[in-house]
Amino acid sequence: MTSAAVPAIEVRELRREYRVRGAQKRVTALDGLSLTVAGGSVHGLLGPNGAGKTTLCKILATVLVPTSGTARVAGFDVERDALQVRGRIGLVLGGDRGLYAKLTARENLEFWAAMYGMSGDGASLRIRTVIEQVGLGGVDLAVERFSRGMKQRLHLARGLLPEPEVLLLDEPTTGMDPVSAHAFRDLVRGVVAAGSTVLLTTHDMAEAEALCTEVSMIDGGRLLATSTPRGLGELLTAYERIDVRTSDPATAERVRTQLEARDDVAATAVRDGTTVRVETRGEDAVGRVLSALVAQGLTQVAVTSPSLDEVYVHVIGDRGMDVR
Amino acid sequence: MRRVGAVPVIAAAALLEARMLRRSPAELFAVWLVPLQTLGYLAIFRFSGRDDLDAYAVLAPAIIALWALALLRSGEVIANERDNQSLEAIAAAPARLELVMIGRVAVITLASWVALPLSALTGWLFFGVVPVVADPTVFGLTYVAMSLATVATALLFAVFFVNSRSPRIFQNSLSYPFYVLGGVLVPIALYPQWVQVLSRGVYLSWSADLLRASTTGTGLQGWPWRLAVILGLAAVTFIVAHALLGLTMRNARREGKLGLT
Repeated sequence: MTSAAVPAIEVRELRREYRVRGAQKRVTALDGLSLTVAGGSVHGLLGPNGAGKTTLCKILATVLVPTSGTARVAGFDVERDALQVRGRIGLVLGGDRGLYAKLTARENLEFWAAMYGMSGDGASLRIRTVIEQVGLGGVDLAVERFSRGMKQRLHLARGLLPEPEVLLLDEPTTGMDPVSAHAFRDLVRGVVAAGSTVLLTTHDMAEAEALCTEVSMIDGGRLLATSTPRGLGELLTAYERIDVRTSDPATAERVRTQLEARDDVAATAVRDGTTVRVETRGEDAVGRVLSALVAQGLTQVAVTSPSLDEVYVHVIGDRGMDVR
Repeated sequence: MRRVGAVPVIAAAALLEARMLRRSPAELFAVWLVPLQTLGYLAIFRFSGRDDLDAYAVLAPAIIALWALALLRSGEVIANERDNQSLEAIAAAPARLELVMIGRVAVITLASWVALPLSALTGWLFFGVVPVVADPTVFGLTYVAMSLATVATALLFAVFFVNSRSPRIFQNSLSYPFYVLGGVLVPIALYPQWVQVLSRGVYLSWSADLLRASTTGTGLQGWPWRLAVILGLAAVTFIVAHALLGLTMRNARREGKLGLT
């Protein structure tokens, strides 16, 4: 497993451009990204579609070569020492395909075990273990009859099979039901407890919040922020918020208008007809706004911290369905 | 880090392909068509009063099946991995893609061996053709050499087709001309001189000539060096396929094409 002195993943000024057939310009998927992931951690990679998450995973897996910059996995350069890197990683790319549909889960894994130099009783035992781990132990069907969630579990089993030092998970819970997704988190915790490092790309904020020791947000191929999930929330303390329950919509609208006029209020909105959400601005703003609310007889108030979901929208920006 | 041996990877890939073929026997359609071809050729030869050409009629469909599977099934091995989105996972594993291809293509080629007994059985059942091989050693060695050359050629097809935007056009175009150039039914000695020159570059022509000669026991002069020519052509083809596969993979990693379908 990765030694404490050597980061599990170290990316410096990584740039990846794609040439688009028929187009003059080149698309930049990664734009000078730098990132360090400590050994034994779960690092979440958050970002919208097209942010560069999958490109980064593929470069770390030696499937893509960077246009410039360097990337090291377990201390080995992904270009110069590609074979060393391949022997130390597990790669789980999301999606329905990537498996041999006519074969059973066990038969699929027998092939992949050989691809990682595993053979004999050791390979059989390991295959049995990972199949049990992902909950496919009692399933003896061809993969073509699997549900999407079952296929996703098999992808995960393939990633776990070689007991990798670094496990790259690209949206691994896509298609899993909530119970399975919960079991997946326990599984990842187990993998990390055994000494592996996990890089997890996801859109699921709850998953990132529950699993990750650190979270990086990327967009446009650039790193926007890296922190603990809690730390990212604290980035937005300037935007601490207060939810005020009122008796009726008219009162809610009146209170919202009054609060919006204050200098220490950044934004207001009426939610569910009668609740006013207030985002404060500046030091001690929460206290001052609370005093003003209580003075008006409004006592049903709650001060909350933003969820990672809200941090995401703040940092990335609300762009609706747009893909950049 | 575990050491990844070549033989276990080839064996695992061979097992993978064998399992897939067992569950999708229709993929061997070129083999299942053999009885029809044998019946057709035998009917033509018998109608012409040439029962001395029975061996030609039985051997030709088997060689055609070997080539057709190399073209249509083995030739699509890499493209199918890419379309299945498993090529990226293979590229990220320590084992070499080339070994996976060798294992899979070898099994497809071996599966095509079924065509020979199938053709012989058809000839015996419908026309009473008794299969006789005058020199089984030369016949066996030639069949193995021809199969090795087919594996090498199929690897070249696989690399070529994955780089092509319209592989079907090539697959359709590379069948009949090679049955003619390869002299699978008509010996190339009967062709014009300039066609014979071209045919000598095709391993099928050397193979078909030697196989037919070994059934009758005549025309076997210099069989060892003729066998060596087949193996030499196989080696040259394999070296070219190996070099092109290396270039293709480097290019795919640089251009991000491993996952494109």
